[in-house]
Amino acid sequence: MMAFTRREPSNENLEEKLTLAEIDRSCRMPVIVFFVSALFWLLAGTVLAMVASLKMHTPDFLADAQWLTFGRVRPAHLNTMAYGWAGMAGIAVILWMQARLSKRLLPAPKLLVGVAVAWNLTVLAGTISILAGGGTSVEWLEFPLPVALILGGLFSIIGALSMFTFFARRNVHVYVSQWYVFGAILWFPYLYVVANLMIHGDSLVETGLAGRGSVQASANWWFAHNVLGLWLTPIGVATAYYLIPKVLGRPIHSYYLSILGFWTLALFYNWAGSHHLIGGPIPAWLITVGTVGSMMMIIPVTTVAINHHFTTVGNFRTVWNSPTLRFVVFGAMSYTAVSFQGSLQSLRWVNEINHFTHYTIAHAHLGVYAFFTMMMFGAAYYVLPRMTGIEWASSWMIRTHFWTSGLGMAVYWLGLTYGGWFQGLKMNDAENEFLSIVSDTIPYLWSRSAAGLLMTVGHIVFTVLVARMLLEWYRRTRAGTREAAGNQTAAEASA
Amino acid sequence: MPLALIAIVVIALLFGLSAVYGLVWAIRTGQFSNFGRGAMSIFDEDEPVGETTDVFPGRRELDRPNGEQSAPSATAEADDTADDTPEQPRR
Repeated sequence: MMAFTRREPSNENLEEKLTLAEIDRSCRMPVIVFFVSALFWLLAGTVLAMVASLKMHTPDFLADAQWLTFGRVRPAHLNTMAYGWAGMAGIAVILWMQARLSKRLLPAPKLLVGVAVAWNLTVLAGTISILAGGGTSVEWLEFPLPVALILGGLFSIIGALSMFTFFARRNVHVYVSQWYVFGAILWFPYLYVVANLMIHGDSLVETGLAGRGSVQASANWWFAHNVLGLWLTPIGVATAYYLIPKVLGRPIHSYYLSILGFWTLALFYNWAGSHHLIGGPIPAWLITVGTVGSMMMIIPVTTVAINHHFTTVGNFRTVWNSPTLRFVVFGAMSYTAVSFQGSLQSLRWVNEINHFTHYTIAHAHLGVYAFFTMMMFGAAYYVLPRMTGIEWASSWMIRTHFWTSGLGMAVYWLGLTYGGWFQGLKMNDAENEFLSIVSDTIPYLWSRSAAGLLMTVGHIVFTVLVARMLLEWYRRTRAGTREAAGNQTAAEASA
Repeated sequence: MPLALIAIVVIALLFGLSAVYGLVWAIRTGQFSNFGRGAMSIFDEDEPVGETTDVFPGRRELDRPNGEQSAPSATAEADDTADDTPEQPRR
């Protein structure tokens, strides 16, 4: 059975519905490769994060290592996490969910594995060039242009295959998660390529297609906010909309609201990015548009919050007994929190306090870690056993992973939010000496490193769990092939 | 400048129109005509409504992948019957 061969034509001929297990099996190799690569980048990004975090309160740490200066480690952390961990885990979930919901086998699995390998090499090349000092210093887009364009090309291949699955779907009804996933895969490759060309395309400046100065900054934050809003958010929300009802075995509370949520997200999110430039040298109306877009986001966020709350309410035991839902519901709650917080931060009077402080860092991690990363952990707990056919090895390790990641995130957020807010208030008062404000933040920076350590433990535990599963899978696969070979020789002997 | 302007307007129109097209398509094909059925569309005989599909390891056998694995690599029909073996939904 492990020598399973994919015969798409025969399924075409049968024209009868595939079982979910068959669809899962067709996703096996690409999804495992994407998830395992993502996990590798999660660990790499964690190391870079810890180095950066320690440097914030102990500046002498590794100060003589040119490659590990703060200005390089920090963007390397961001980009490995964004394109290595979050991107690859997100793609694994997109591929699996789109195939399952479209009731189709995943197309071109070998090509997808090849894309995953190429993706890894590209992210590696980008990370090395950042650490070597070749980063572009444009936040979220630090990879040099050639690297970014290759990544954009790979994104497009994945997008095309995912869209192919969607357009060849056998389901009559397009489920809400499909809308979200389709949106993400339609919007993001375009966003990524255009933002890179507009900001880094030196030879395009004369044509007017690439900007200079504040135009670059506007393009930068249009993109950076949309990474969250039109890429990570749809993937995360789609995961929640699929896995919460799926694990509980009950449909979502209000399907109407979920659809409304998707369309309002599609309508408003793209406008929100310019709130990052409040106080910056760009036209005031552009910032106001961003603020309005951010406040309008309250509508889709409320629909998601209502739905997730009322679907899970009364089923707490089931949630608690499911590794998947522990993480997914944690992620869903964080999504509500981070989104309302984000809308508030787009208001000028709030932003003038939190801007350029650690408060913003806490907010960013509430989004990418507490929401998205926890959501991807939850998805991995659901998907990987279905890819390998192997149960997770240990309940207490899963619990350890949950508590270290969850508590680590809580400590991280509380420390930096509190410290950052007062940092902002002090900075707005000219009476305060700047250096004293900086040294006042040091205890909070220590709390961040402690939180980071907790999360690191969680990541290591999760890696061990995945490694144990894959080793068991490998062992069984080998035993399976040996058995099959044995059967064959036995059959030949008897014949 | 004109080249840039044309490109931006055309691309913006394409993305905007694709959303409008999607919305019109969804309304015309009845995607939004029955929300109750839409919400139920993720459940089928494989994973019916009322059945939880994830617990901590050891609590209860995670039946599907293991069942699939132990079943001989047979036809979809055989898998279907294997899947229908009852699983007690319990709290």
